[in-house]
Amino acid sequence: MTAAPSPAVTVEVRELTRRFGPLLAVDRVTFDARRGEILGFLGPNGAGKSTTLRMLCGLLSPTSGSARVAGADVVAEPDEVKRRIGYMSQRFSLYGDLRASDNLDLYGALYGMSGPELRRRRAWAEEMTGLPGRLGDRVDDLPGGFRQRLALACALLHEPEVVFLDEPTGGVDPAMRRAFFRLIDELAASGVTVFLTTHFLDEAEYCHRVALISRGRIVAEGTPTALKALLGEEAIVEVRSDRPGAALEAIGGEPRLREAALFGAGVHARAAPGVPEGEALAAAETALERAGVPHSAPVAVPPTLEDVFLEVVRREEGRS
Amino acid sequence: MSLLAVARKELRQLSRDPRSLAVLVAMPAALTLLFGTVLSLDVRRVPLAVLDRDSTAASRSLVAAMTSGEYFTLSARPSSEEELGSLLSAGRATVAVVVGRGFESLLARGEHPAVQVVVDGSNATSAQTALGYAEQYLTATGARLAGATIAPSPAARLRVLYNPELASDRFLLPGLMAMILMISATVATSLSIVRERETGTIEQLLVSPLTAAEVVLGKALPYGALSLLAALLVMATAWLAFGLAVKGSLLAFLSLAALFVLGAQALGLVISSVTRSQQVAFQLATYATMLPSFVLSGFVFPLRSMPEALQWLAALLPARYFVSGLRSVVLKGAGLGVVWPDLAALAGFAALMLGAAIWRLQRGQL
Repeated sequence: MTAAPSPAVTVEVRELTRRFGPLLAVDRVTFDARRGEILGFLGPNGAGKSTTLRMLCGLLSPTSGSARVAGADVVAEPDEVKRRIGYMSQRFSLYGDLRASDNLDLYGALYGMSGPELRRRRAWAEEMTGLPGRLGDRVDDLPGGFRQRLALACALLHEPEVVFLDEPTGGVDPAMRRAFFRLIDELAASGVTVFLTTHFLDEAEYCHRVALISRGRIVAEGTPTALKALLGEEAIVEVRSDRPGAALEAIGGEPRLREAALFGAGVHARAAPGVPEGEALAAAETALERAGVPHSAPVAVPPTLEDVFLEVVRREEGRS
Repeated sequence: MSLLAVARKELRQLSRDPRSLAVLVAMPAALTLLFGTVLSLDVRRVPLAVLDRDSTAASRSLVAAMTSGEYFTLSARPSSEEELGSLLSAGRATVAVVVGRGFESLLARGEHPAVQVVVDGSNATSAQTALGYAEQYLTATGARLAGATIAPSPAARLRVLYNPELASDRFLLPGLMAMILMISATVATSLSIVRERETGTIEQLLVSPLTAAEVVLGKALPYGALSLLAALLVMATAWLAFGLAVKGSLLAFLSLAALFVLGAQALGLVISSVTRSQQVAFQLATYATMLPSFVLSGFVFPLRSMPEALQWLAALLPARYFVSGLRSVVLKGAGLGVVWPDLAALAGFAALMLGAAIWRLQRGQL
């Protein structure tokens, strides 16, 4: 393969729209993904991530708009698309009552693989899943992380150009999640386009580029770093409390802080424009003391994609 | 070929699930044995009470003739009409015969002595049958005792074809086989797509280059082969246990059974493609097969005596064609040349259902 000056676009989506009756699930979504890129769709449940992905896989036809995946049109040539992509759903959909090797054989056969080609890829799968010698086990008897890697191996067995991962690390622990993304990184480095949907922010941090999805629309897009820069210079203050509701109320009334929001077991707020970090931390401490809310010492934290998400959605809503 | 990959996967899954396999293959034969034993409209060992006021050689000969066969068992010899009445109302006798005085002497003179037969009519069907038996005995005994002087009535000269004893189990078994096979085949596949939907694997199949037709046929064919095996076991059971041999062409029997189970399986796949949980699929599959194949197949109730609307409805059901084809082949010894309309109807139903299942799956109904 000749080296192209800029990596080829492998997923090209233009004004893609899908309605379910009165509900506009995906609203004029437009984006590109390139060879070797990991592109993440980040958004809450019901934002339209999975619907978009299903249209790109040829499982669902768009109401309007167009998309080309691995050089084939999803509306005109869905069968061609299916041959060139790999797909792994959030449920690691394997046949639990069959052996791991039976699952590999099935997916190999579905993509028309046989003979030495199938043997080579099976050997690769055995190596990649990291538990050689257990391919004869029933899938249901295998640990979760192994099932996840096996599902990925099944999706990649036929060496697709584009891989779609729908919520790929749901239900596995953070260590396995890291190991999983090392595999995804290697895959992208070998030239495969990886498109994933997620509502986990730490998963999105592994992506080269992230599109934030809210109510069927892309509200922001860029590298994780570029997206965080959208927030501007102001510091982000984090406070943990056993009574997050009361803490939110106390901080919300402080004029030197703004956009206070619940964040796990605590509250995030941003310094108002022109307020330096030290002053913002002191203001939070004073507000909480005055309200008598038990709390940890306020600290400045680096912005996360969730802060970006909240900010972008807020701006969108302010506009409409 | 991808279709074969799906079929192989289905067979592997079934081979790891001996319980489902047993339900699919062995259960129909077991049910045929069980229900075939109890399922009979024939009447046997009817308790008979005899009030013999004549007490002559002729009257004793009549009673002996009636109780020598397997139809009647002498249960009581009451001495009065009152006693006889209480035997009937207590259910200790279903049929009572009262032989009047002068039975023997009237017979000897070539006259027709009256013999009163009383039947408990609370079960209309078996009363009718028992009455029929009793009349036959009376006619036969009368003729025998009176010599050639009294000719039996012409009505008794019926000749019964195909099922000379008019045994109802011969007539009922094909219907029973149809009903059992229909239910087991439909239920088996009705669970298959919906189970894959529950685990999410159907999505994985549909994003592969596999077509909806390959998914549907890849599921219908292995299940069809197993159900055909079940049909052979059912036929073997009917033969060994009830003496019901295939009188006609074996090829015709196999074709009927194969097309019938394929249609049932395709119906199961349609049910599977419109339901969301295995529980609902199971219920729907049972309701959709049990009553129609019992009531509208001609299994027990003759279709010709039904209201026209129901006859039209029955014409849409595969069980109706399987039952009539099976009766032709098994009881009357027919071959392909006779049952081809039934075969065509069964093939049409199977094609329609397979098409519907493929269409549902193609539309991405997940």
